[in-house]
Amino acid sequence: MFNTKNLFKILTALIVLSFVLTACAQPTETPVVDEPPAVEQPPVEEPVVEEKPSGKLVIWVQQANQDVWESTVLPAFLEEYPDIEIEFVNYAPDEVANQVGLAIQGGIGVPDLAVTEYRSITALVELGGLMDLTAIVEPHMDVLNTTMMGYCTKDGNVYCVPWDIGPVVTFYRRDVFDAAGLASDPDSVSAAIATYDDLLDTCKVIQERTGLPCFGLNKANNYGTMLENMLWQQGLGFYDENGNVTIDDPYVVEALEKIGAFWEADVVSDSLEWTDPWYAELNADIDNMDTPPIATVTIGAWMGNFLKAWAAADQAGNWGVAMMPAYSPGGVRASNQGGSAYFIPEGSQNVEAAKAFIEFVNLDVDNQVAQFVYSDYFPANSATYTDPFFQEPDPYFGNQVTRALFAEVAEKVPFGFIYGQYAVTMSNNAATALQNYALGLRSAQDALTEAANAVRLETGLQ
Amino acid sequence: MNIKKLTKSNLNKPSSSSAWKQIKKSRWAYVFISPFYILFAIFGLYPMLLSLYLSFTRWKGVGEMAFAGLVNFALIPQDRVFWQSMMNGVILFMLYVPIMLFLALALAVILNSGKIKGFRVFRTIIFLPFITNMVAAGFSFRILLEKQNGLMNMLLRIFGLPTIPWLENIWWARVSLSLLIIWAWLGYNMVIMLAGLQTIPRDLSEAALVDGATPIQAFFRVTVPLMRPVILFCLITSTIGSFGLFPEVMTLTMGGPVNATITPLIRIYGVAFGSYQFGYASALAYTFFAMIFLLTVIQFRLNREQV
Repeated sequence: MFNTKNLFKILTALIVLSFVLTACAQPTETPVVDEPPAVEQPPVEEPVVEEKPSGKLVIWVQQANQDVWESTVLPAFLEEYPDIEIEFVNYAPDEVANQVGLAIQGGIGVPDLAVTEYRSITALVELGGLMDLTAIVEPHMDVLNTTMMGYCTKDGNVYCVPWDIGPVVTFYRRDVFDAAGLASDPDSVSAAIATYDDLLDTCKVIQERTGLPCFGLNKANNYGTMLENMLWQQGLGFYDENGNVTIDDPYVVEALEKIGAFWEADVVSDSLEWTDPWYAELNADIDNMDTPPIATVTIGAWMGNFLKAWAAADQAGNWGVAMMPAYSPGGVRASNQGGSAYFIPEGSQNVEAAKAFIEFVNLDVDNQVAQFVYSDYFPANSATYTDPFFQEPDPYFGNQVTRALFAEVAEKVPFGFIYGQYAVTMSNNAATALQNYALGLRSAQDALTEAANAVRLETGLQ
Repeated sequence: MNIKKLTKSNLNKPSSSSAWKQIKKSRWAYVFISPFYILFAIFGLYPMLLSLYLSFTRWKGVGEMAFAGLVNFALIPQDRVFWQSMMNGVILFMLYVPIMLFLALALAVILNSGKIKGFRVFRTIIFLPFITNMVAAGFSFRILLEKQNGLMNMLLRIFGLPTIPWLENIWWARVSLSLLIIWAWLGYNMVIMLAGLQTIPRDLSEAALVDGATPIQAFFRVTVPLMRPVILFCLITSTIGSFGLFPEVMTLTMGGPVNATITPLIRIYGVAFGSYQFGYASALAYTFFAMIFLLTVIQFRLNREQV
C-alpha cells in the first residue's frame, strides 16, 4: 500500500521528469496547415569584411636588406597592416639559410619569413622544408625573371620569390681607357671587349701604354667567380641537367686555360675581391703609383652602388659600364652574380602575414622600384623596368643610362648550372682547382679532375 | 633457509636495495648535481649518440634517414681533402706547439722567479689575448699580414727586406696561422705552467744551485722533470687544438690557399653544411675522434715510459 508520503514523492518525481523530458525533446514537426506557401526571401547579404593578417611576423634577414625596407616601404606596409608586428633577426647572408636549415631539421624555431641569396636558397629548395608559394607568384609569372624563377622551382612548384638579380656587366675606368688611347664611351668599350680574347688584347694595350693592371685576379685565394661567369653565360656550369658533375669536362678545362692566359700575359693584379688592396685599386687615382688603379671589374650590377657609396667614392665620373665579354664571338654577354629571394619555411607561425609582406613589399611594382631607387638592388621583376627611373642618367657613371643596360642584361641571363643543392661544395672545389692551376701546382685538367672527384665523393653524384 | 653463497664477485657488491637506500639517503646531493647531468644528456650525450647513428645513414638534414651501413666509412680512405686536413693538423702542430710550449714555460719560469716587479700585470697582459674575441683577432691579423699595405710588410720594406706573401703562399699561410695561434694561446698555457711551477718547492732548485748546478742545469734537470705532467697536459690539449682549429682558420685564411690550412673540423663542417651530407660528416667526425683518442693514448703512454 502506498502511503501519502510516498505518493507525494512519486508525483513530484514524475512532474520533474516530465519537465526535463519536455525540455530535452526535439521540436516536433509543425502540423501542416493550409497556409499560403511562404515567399522565399533572398538571403540577406552581410558585408564581407576581409580579415587582414595580424600578429607577430619573425623575419630572418641580413642587416643591409632590413635597412632597405626600413628606409623605403616598411612604414607603408605597417600602415596597411597595423596589426602585424615585425621582429627582425639579423644573420650574415650565407648564415640565414644555414640557420633556417638547422631550424627545419629541429622542427622548431623556424622564422615566419626569410630572405637570402639564391646560392643558399637553392639547396633548401632541393632538400624540401619550404612552403609552396606558387599561388602568390602565379599572377606575376610573366614578369618575374625566368632564370631566377628556375632556381625557385622544383617539380613545377615555386618555393621562393625572387627579389633582386645580379646581372653581370663590366665596370671600367674611362680615364684609364683614355690614357691608353682607347675609346672610352660605353659602346666602344663594349665592342673592344666583345669576347674574352678581345678583353685580353685590350688589357695588353692598357698594360703596354699605361702600365696599369686590367683587373684583379688573385692566384692563391681566387674565389672562382670569373670561371663561374664564363660557364654561366654559356648556360653551363659545374653539373648538367641530369645532375652529373661536369667540373672536369673539356669546356671547364678550356675556360680555366682562358683565365690562365691573363696571368700568362701578366696584365692583371693579384688583388683579391673584397679585400683592402682591391678596394684601394678601385678607388685609386690614375697617377697613384703606390696603388695603381685597375681598369675594369666584371661583376654584378649591384656593384654600382658599392662603387658610388664607398668602394670608389672618389672616382665619380671616371667609371663607366659596358657589356661583359662573351665567351666566344656572338655568344651571350650576360651572367649572374648574387641576388636574393624570399621564402617561407614550413612551420612558419604566421604564413598569412608572411605572404602579405611578400606581396606588398616585393610583388608591388611601385614598392619594388622604391627599393631599387634607394639601394640599387636590381629587381628581378621586369614590370619595374618601364619605370622612368630606369632611363635616368647616372651622374656617378658620367651620366650614362646604366639601369637600362642592367635591365637589358638581366633579361638575357641564361640558366647556368652553378646554383643548386651542392652549389657551395662545387664552387669551393672549383675555386681550389683554379688556385692549384694558378699557382702552377697542377695542370688545368688535373686540378679539375681532382676537384670533380672530391665533389663526387662528397655528394654521391656521378 | 635461503643462504646466500658468498663469492668474490658479490662480496663487496651492495645489494640493489642497499644501493637504492644509499641513493635515497643522499637524494638532495643527487638533486643538486643533476642539472649538469640533465644538460649534458640533452646537449652532449644525445647529439653524440645521434651523430653515431647518423654515421651509418644517408641523411641530408631533411626527410628520412636511410640506413647505409658502413658506406660512409668506406668513403673516408678516398677523401683527399679530409686526409689533407689531417696532415695540415700535423704540420700546424709541429709549427707552433713546440715553440708555444717552450715560450709558455720560459715565461712562466721568469714570472715565477720572484725577480719580476709587477708580476700580476705581466701575467694579465700575456693572458689577455686568450680572452680576446678570436674573430676580431683573426681579422686584425689579416689586416696586419696583408700583402700590399699590411703593417708587417711595411716594416719589412722599411728595413729594406723583401716582403712576404703571408696569406698567398702555402707555407707562409701556415706560418701566419701559427703566429695567430701562438699569440692567442700562449697566455693560457703560461698560466697552466705557472700554476704547475707554484706547486714545486723552491728548495729543490735552490738545493741544486747550492750543489753547483747552473740555473740552466737546474731548470732542465729539476724543474722540467717535475713539470712533466703539466707539460703533458698542455701538449695533449694543444694536439687536440691543432686538429680542431676553426675560428682562427675561418677568419685568417678560410682554409686556403689550396686547402693548405684547412683543418678536420672545417672539413666536417663543410660536408655537413655545404653539401648537407650529415651522415658522411658524422662518419668523418667519429673517425676524427678515434684518431685523436688514439693519439692522446700514445702521448700518455710515451710520457709514462719516460717518467
